[in-house]
Amino acid sequence: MSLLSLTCKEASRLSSEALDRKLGFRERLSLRMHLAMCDGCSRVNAQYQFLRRAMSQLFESHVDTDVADRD
Amino acid sequence: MDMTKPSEISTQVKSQELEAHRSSLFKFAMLQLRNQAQAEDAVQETMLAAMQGAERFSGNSSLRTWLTGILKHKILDQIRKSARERTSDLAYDEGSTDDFDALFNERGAHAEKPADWGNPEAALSQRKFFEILERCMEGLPKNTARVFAMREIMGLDTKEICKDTGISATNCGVLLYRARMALRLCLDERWFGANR
Repeated sequence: MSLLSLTCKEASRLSSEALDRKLGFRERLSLRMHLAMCDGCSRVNAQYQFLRRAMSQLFESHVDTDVADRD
Repeated sequence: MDMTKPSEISTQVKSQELEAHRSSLFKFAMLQLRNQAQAEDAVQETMLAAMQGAERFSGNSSLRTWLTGILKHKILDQIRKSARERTSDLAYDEGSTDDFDALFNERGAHAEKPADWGNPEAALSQRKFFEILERCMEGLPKNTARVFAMREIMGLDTKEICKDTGISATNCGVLLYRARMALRLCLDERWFGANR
């Protein structure tokens, strides 16, 4: 991939990778540039991050049911 | 002063009380393991550990929180065991990322602009949202769901996941990408886009 001009397809993959490993300097730069210019990919990126928050609360949502069940 | 000693509190964790949690622990294990026998084993071992270690239950957290904490370790044990015994096909690549090709045009741009979810945080206070999220997770291929759960529910880093499952770092990245894309599309269809 040409690092300074990512396609949306590449950016959606790289946004995901960014949640699992530290991106290299050029990867990070090219992703930031792409996200700054691309609404669609910014949304995808935000959705991935939201998904992470939701998953971290999935366990608590089970716990909440417990409390609700006892009430 | 008549203070109840910790040991007396612990005896209150009776097997009957534990049993009340069995079905939801099983549900939680199934979501992550996607294998009935393994999920049953993980829950059974959790029950045993809870009975043997009842004195360690502080009573500060709810019994469910404590049990789920134990269960996470038991689920991980099951995943490690199946990787060791190669009874699982975790090393098997569940495909490439080709199945998302339709989302992009021939130049790699979004064929259709992804939807704006507005303020998605509001969903996190709704029980129904988490039910949908679980349904969406159930729709993931087994290994994809396992690796995603290890990363996002258990909070393991990819190095640990690779070690525990025997899959390569690259493949791990592919599975996590597939999970995120599939869940994003599923939530869009079944929650955020449901009223569009």
